[in-house]
Amino acid sequence: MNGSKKLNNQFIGASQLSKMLFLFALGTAGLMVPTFVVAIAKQDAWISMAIAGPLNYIVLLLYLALAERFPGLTLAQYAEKLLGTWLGKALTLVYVCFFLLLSALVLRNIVDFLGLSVLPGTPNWVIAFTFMLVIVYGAYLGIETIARSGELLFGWTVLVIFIIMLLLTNQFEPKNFEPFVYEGWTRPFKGLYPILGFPLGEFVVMSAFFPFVKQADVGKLRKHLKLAAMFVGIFSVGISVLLLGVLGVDETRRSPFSIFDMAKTINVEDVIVRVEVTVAIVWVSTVFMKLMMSFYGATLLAAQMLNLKSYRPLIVPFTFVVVPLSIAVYRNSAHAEYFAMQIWTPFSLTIGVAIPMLLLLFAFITGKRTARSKGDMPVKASYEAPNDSPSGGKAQQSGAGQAGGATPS
Amino acid sequence: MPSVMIVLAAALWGTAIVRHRMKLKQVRESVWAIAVLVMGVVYCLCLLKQVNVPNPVDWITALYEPLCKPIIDWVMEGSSE
Repeated sequence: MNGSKKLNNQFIGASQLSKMLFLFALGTAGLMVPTFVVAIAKQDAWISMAIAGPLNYIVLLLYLALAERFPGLTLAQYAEKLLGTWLGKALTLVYVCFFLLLSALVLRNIVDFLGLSVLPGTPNWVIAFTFMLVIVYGAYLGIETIARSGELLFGWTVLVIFIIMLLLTNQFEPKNFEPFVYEGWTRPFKGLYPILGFPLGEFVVMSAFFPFVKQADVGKLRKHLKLAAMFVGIFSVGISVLLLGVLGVDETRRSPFSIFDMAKTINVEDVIVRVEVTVAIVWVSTVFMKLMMSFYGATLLAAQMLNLKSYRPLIVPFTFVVVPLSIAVYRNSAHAEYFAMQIWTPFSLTIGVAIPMLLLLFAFITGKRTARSKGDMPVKASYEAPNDSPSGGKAQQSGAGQAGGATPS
Repeated sequence: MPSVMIVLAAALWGTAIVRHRMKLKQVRESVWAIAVLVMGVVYCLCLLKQVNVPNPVDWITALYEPLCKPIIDWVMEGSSE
């Protein structure tokens, strides 16, 4: 793919990307993963979460290494550079399908959650379609809008989680953690299994967003990603500790949306009660970010694969695929749990970790990399003019000295 | 009735895409957008008419279940206790 192909001319900051990453990781993982991890690791689930923290950062380093080797290019573009046009396009198609499937699964999670807890009786397709309307609008507005919504939602999410944690301290029961590591360290390590599937294997979505980071912020990217991974780790451990301390092992593993059920138990002197809807709002917003990022990644990669000048014509057509797919993927909740808990991990690790690792290895062996443009600027490769003009428009320099052209090696 | 609505919505959106992209002389964009749209509409209609459409989750399960069974069994042992 010609590096000068322009699909989008928007830029985001490193801190915005790290907030998006935090919300992405907390999305479905925050609400559903603790249930799966507790089912496997029991009262030692929080140790599994703590072990997963550094792993998150290691996986992110893999994508960062690829992004640094091919600055300004998305996965679709450097796959073509590495493997040749047709093999690269085939691999991009795999990623487009993966992102679409991920979008459908995330949409299904939110539909199930809203259908069960907030909007009982509402048909699934109505919830799915309504939710997708917002996603379509966000994707149409572009990466800057998505990143700004992420910044807004990040603050509220952190605040609400802190308040919930404070309000639940009176119900915390330290005895729920006993016996500590009762079957040795095998169980906490086994508890890693679902976490490796989501969010860890799904972080590959981030590779579609690295090229949008402002030139001035590229140097800070590693630090911000480290911070985001650390925050994800701390919050995951915090949430699992709270779940185990308040609900205990049995109730946590039985509940499909354990954090929501935990929030139902909040009762401060009969004054502050029924605050679970705040958790629902936070969860909807984190899922919104995750769905938005995977859907946007799918349209962007598809547009690059098909050599289109804009990703926007694909947004609505992809909605016609994602909404029915979200309804068809799971037959029932048992099927959903089986797939998410057991099958999704090896699949998402193959797509999200094994293939990028092989790409990086291949790049090292062949010595392929993209040359940086003048002044050590990254090559910009995926822009779209704001007016959606056929020429692709001139990339606007919102970043400090962002390079507009492309100079593939 | 829902299938008629879906076809109608897709036809309207398809027309809008083609008209807008043709104005911008983006034939390639229109063609691919329409292709994906048609695929999506066919998928919706198959679901509505309860035709047995392929489910990617079943494919993935069929592919990975036998490969990873020993690991899954090892991880899950004792999880139902």
